[in-house]
Amino acid sequence: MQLAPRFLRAIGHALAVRHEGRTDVSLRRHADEMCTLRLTELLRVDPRPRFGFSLHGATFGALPLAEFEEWPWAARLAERGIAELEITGTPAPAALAAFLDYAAGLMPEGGLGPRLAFDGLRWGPTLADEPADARYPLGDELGVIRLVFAAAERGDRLPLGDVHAVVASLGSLLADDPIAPLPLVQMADREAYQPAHAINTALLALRVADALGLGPDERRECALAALLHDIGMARLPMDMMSVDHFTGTDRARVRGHPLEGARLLLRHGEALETAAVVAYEHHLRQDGAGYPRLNYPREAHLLSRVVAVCDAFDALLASRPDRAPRDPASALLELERSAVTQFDPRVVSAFGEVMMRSAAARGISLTSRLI
Amino acid sequence: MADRISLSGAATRQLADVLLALAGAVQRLRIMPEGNPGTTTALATLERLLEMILTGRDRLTVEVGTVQLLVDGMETNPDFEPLRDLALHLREFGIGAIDFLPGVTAAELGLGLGSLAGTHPGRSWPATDHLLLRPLLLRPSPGSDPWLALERLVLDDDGRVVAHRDPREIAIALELHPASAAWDERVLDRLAAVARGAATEPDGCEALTELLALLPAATLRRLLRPSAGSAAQLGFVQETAALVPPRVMLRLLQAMTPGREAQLTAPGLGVLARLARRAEHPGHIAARRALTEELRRLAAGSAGEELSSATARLAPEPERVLKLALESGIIERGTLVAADRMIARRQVSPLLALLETVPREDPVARALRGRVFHPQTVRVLLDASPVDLDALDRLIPAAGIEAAPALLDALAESRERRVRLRLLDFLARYGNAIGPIASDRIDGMPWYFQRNILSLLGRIPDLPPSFAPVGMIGHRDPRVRHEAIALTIADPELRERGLADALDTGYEPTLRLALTALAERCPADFAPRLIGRIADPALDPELRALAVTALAQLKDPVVLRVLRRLVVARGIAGLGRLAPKSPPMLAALRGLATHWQNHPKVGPLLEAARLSREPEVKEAARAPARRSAPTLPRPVP
Repeated sequence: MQLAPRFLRAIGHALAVRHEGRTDVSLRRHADEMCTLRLTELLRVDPRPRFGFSLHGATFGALPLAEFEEWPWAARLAERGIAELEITGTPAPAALAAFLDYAAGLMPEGGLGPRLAFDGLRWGPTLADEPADARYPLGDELGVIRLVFAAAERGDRLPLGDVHAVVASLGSLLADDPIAPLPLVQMADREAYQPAHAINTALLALRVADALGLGPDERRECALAALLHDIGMARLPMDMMSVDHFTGTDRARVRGHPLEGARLLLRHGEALETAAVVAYEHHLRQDGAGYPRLNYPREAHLLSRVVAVCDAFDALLASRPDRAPRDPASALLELERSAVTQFDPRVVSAFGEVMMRSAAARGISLTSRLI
Repeated sequence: MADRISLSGAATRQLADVLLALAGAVQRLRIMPEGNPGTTTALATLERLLEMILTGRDRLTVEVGTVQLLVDGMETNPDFEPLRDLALHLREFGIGAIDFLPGVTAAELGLGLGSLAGTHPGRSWPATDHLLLRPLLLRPSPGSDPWLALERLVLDDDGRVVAHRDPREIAIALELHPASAAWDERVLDRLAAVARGAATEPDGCEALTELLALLPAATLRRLLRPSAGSAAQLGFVQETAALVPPRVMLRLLQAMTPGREAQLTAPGLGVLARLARRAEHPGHIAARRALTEELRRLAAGSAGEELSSATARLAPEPERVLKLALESGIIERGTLVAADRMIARRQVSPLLALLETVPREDPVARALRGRVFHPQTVRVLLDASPVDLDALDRLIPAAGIEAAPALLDALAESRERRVRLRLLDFLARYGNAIGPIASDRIDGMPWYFQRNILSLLGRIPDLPPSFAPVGMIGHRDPRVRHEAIALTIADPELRERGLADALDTGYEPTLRLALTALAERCPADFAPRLIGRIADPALDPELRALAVTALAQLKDPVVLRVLRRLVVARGIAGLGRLAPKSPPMLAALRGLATHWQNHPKVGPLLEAARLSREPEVKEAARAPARRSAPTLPRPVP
């Protein structure tokens, strides 16, 4: 939370040193080094921090920074044409120093200004989103879910506010346009697969919840459960997930993830009770098979059945060592084939409707990744 | 400026005691009949406390607010129900203030406060020398304008009569006020009230929004920090969240985040910031709703409350969670919470059935048993209607004697005879351990509860040492007296005292009890009383027969005379013939056959009876073996 303000304070100090015309090189160098240090810390948690500067203060991402409401450098940076600043990578010390010189007014305006594309730094009166943002419109949410999975991996309590923030964001994104294309996230990187899969499953589950006519509370519960259904996977060793083929032991451990997930979620008491049940039951099959083995035979909870379908669909779209990714149409066909034995036919039917409606409304082929 | 009464400081504690005693006295006057000992005690307590607090004062004035009382410049917590209820009750009766003067007595209190006991407010109240009930004046009070209440507090200006509603003035005052958790909590309460009012008043909403936008971030953080009265925060956030624009909601979220990073991290806040930006557009209703929800959730989280899935229609039933836990061996908070929820829903029987499906040593089952076999569970079951008596039957042995108070409470309150009978059975199972707990409750309770307690004490091996049943023999209700007499009769040292009282009673069950006991063993002193009862023609013949049976065992010529008189027909015509068959006659015949068979005057009588054509007469005359006294059913609790 404090990393962005710390970085800005370091920037402010470096600008002040320049502005005061201090000739002491070591003082300036020390101030610049502090900027680099603070920036390095920030980049560890946010790979693309973006700041905004105006008469009203500074913002970090979309978030106004309360303690910078009266920060004098915010207005000055805006005046210098640095209304937006994005850091795309660690800049070289010389590049950062040059930027600070420009920002402090030591370089002529327009000379080294916005045209300069320093490594890792972009700025200007406004910044157009990079293509990457278009490919990953849910980048912030993905970042948060990564943190949630990291907390699960450590065995820590999950930051519930974060989880709910993502659910709220996904929910509002889809609620505003019921037939908008689903911005599913695609991750080639195996380490990032789980958080992306969590977000995709939640998006799909939200749509199915709407199709099933669930109310707002149930819709939110559904997304929350979908987001956390595979949280138990975070407890598996990372090196195990990077192998191409599982051994029998590996497979047994993977089959333990519903239980691990439920354990982790039940730690939060009633708050994540539904999610715990769904995490535990999402691999149960409609014909009574699946895992974990039940001592008290019962039908899986409705939300477990919804998540099971969405989970399977997104998994089919992903590339696996032993098979190529399926396109949405064939994945849907596969689900329909498995209805009755593996999935709840009612849920599969709702899912099919959602997919078809979304595709028809936008004229998008179901073969596209962006559904 | 009014301060909230807390329990710190001796003077404040004294005041709190007085107010609680006042509330208790008014409550008792309202619900108990006139002259009830409970009311007398409550008034005496109030008199004593007032005497203490009025030492060195010329009066104590209790003013009545909308939902609180004001005394010595302090106000009571509106959330504290007993005093809030008292304030509401006094207002309903049009009381604006009560003055207590030194020397006020319990009688004056009874007279004055008694006028508030009815269900309908009266027009006038009795005035006494030391107690004055003053009418409610219709004057502007802070309670009527939340902005005024806020300004008076924030600006420390009790004299202000009209709210200025200047957000800048309030914001500056809030910023400059030294940090104080208690004060901040009160500010949040006032702000919540302002928000409540603003919900129906656009100008108020605008002013509130401006105030929250103007407050420096540090001040907002101070007000909303996790330690600063989370309940007040929750109230404030709940009232405010739906009113203010998304940018202000975001300010609140930002201010709440420090100290709550375990719930919401900076990246999470970033997601909400984007949501807030989306919510600024009028079309994005869902974004606004989601932001409101998250704001409330964050406040609820630090108030120790969970906006849980249990409220949702599709929340899993707790039994599903417990099955999951028992299958997988998961003992986490959610497991225990699910068990609690089953208990709260009075699903104890299915829960017990579930526990019986796993071995006793199963760790999850063990953890759950600790939760289920608990006095609190007993209390929950007893609060249900209908009461699950079978579940109670299984629970009580494991819950232990700690569950006894709940059972006694239920015994006092239950309207179902079936339930009371089972409760008495459950309580009796505790044996001697229940004695002191039950006998401690007997004073001042309604007659039926006293009767049941005495009945319970009669079912345990020993009476508690501190309890003397003789004290209850003089009770005005014959049913209570009956049980007390039963206890004294059962005590060898008190038996004769009890029997004597019982023989004098007009209450038939008690007389039957005594006669039955005397039929077992009758001291010689009781002969005159028994003869008197036998001779009473108004007495039920069965009871007279019992008296005859008791009397017959006494070796006294007078007794023989009485018995013979009952057996032999009266008058010249009937000389030497048996009297007509009746219960006393048969009892006397049986008594003669049992205790007097060898007496010369008895032999011919018995011979004559054995020749009778009446089988019962024959049978009575042949009864040498001593008969046991009939067993009487216990009175219904």
